[in-house]
Amino acid sequence: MNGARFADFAVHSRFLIVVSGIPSPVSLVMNSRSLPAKIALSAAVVALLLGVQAMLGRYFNEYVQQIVLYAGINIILAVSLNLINGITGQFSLGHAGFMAAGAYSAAAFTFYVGPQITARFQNEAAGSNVVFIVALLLSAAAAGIAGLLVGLPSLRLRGDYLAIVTLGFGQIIIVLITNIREVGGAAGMTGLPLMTNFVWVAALMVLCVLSVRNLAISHLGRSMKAVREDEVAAEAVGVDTTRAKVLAFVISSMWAGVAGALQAHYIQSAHPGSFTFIRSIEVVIMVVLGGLGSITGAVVTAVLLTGLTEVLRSITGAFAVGLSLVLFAAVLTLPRYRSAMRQSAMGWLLWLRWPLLSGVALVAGFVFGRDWLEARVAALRFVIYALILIVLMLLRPQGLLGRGELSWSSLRRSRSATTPEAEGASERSEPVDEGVRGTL
Amino acid sequence: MNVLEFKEATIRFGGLTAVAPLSFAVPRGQLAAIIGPNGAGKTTVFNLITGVYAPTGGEIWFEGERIASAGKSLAPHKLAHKGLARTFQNIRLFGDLSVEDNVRCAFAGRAGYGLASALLRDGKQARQEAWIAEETAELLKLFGLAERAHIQARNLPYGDQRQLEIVRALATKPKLLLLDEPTSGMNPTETETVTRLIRSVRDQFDISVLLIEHHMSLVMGICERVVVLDGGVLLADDVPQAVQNNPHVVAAYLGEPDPELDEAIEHGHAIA
Repeated sequence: MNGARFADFAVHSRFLIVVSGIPSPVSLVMNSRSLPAKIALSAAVVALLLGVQAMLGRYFNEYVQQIVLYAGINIILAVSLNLINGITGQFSLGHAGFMAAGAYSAAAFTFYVGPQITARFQNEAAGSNVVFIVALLLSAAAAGIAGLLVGLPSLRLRGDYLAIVTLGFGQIIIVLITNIREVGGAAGMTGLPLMTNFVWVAALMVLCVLSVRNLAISHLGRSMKAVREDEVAAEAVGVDTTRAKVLAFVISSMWAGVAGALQAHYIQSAHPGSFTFIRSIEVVIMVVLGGLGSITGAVVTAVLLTGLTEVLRSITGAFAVGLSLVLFAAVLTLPRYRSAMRQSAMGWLLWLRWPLLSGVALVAGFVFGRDWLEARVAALRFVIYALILIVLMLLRPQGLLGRGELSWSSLRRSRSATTPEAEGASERSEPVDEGVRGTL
Repeated sequence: MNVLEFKEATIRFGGLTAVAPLSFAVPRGQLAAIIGPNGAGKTTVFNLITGVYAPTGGEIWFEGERIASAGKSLAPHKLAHKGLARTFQNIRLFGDLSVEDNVRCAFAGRAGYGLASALLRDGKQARQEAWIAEETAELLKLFGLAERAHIQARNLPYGDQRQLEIVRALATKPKLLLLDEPTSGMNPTETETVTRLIRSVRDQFDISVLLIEHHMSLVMGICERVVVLDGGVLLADDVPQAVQNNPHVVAAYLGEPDPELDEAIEHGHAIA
């Protein structure tokens, strides 16, 4: 089961066939080379984001806006962690620690120094934006230094051992913070100014995805992938493996720090409890579920999982999620029964027996057990969440997109690959990272 | 002028002397082989040259520059930048990457742009990447791998994997190519192909080649010099014909008792 086959399914809808024929507007934007074009495009993006923000504020309530912002922050976290865990193949469990380093350094700045700077500005909004920009830079720097410190042991350790070291390092950061009275200690820091809004989150998310993607397609990214594949061989062909690993750690943790700062200035507080290793694991889940090494995979799962925790608050939402999971499973298992289906109608039954059974069970549970479930949905929420993760992992152990990328050209490729003579071609190999190169 | 020179280089692992003080040189442009029975120290010599191990004594010189001396050695990637490329006994490709990307990884030392260019994807990055893509395509075409450029390396047939490893090594633009058993696990026909390939690589790319080999037909057929090791000591260092008739070599290969060799291994000095 590979990424191409997943896209293969997506492409059967007529709309996508039509759309994938025209050049992707995203690729036009992202592949522009000249500096004026880049500046003009950035300005256009910011204008667009301002427009979207106005719309969000007008047509959607605060709850929806909050989910959108969390999704954006989670995208930054997942995409940046993907640089270490997916592209460089190191196993880090310390992302929340870097987040904390960024969140607290930014919070301390806006809390203690911020008001004095804002006071010097005539325009209060301009002042607070300047403060926030400095705070964000500070958070990136602090988290980057923390990443450098963790990157150094990663030179000697790999796999499980590195995971334990990064886990420990994350805990050390939390314990340190808990013991600094100036940032609130165990009670956390409250009363931070509200500075994060949709434009900040969206713009930084775009920057984060762009930077990771640009890095991945450069020789530095190739070196990181070489480290993932075989460190000894990488050294032998001239890859400075030390530099590749440390670079991945530093850039990744810088973005984690920025995400932490965004979060702290949205909920207007920073608390040690929100940066425990549970948070790190949440991000690891996003990366693994999206497909280790797939940037678009990390984006998709960050959005899906952020939405999922919210949808599961209501029993109707849980039911809808369950049904879509059954459909997803049916589509994914289809290729296994293809030959059986050609032979007889029994093949169809074979294919559909589990989806049908679980679908019926779901509907029955929804119809007859609704009240019982309704009373317990809060308690069951994370059981269901965990169950969904287990099912998804069983269905697609390599993640939604494997190492491929979901892109315009991958859709186009799989469309041509579904013609009979090219069928072998799509089976032959996973789209390694061609998707990233031309498109996104 | 020698491309590579061992000056009494030696390495001990605890009490075990893997390579006794060893001196030999590979003149520029030569196609030389290291042979010897299992455990003779051949791969250890390769690991000494490529900086995987640092010698415990003596010196190693490459292109008139000291690259290793007692207790220290340049890092493998720096040696690669200086023009040392190698393949491995058990193939070590980047399995999940495409054939093309395997080769492009080898441009790490010559990519010619830094972090800022990479993040901004500026004109310099574009030019350099275009150049790398061009060079890669050319190399792959030369070795008949162009059609398989987009396949994952792990899905290549065995023979092509060995070949790709050589292409990847060549992409670093080496002055000395080290091949560790390039024909291991190959049948006679494949061995014949690789033999021809090695000779043409040496001629076309104008480099020196040092290889470890067990196929005597290949060694005697194309190599100009043969260095024989056994038990970490130098048994012979001569043209193939002379080595073939060397009584110590014959004894080592047939497993006959050779008191002179036993004594040399005992005291860690060369016979030749």
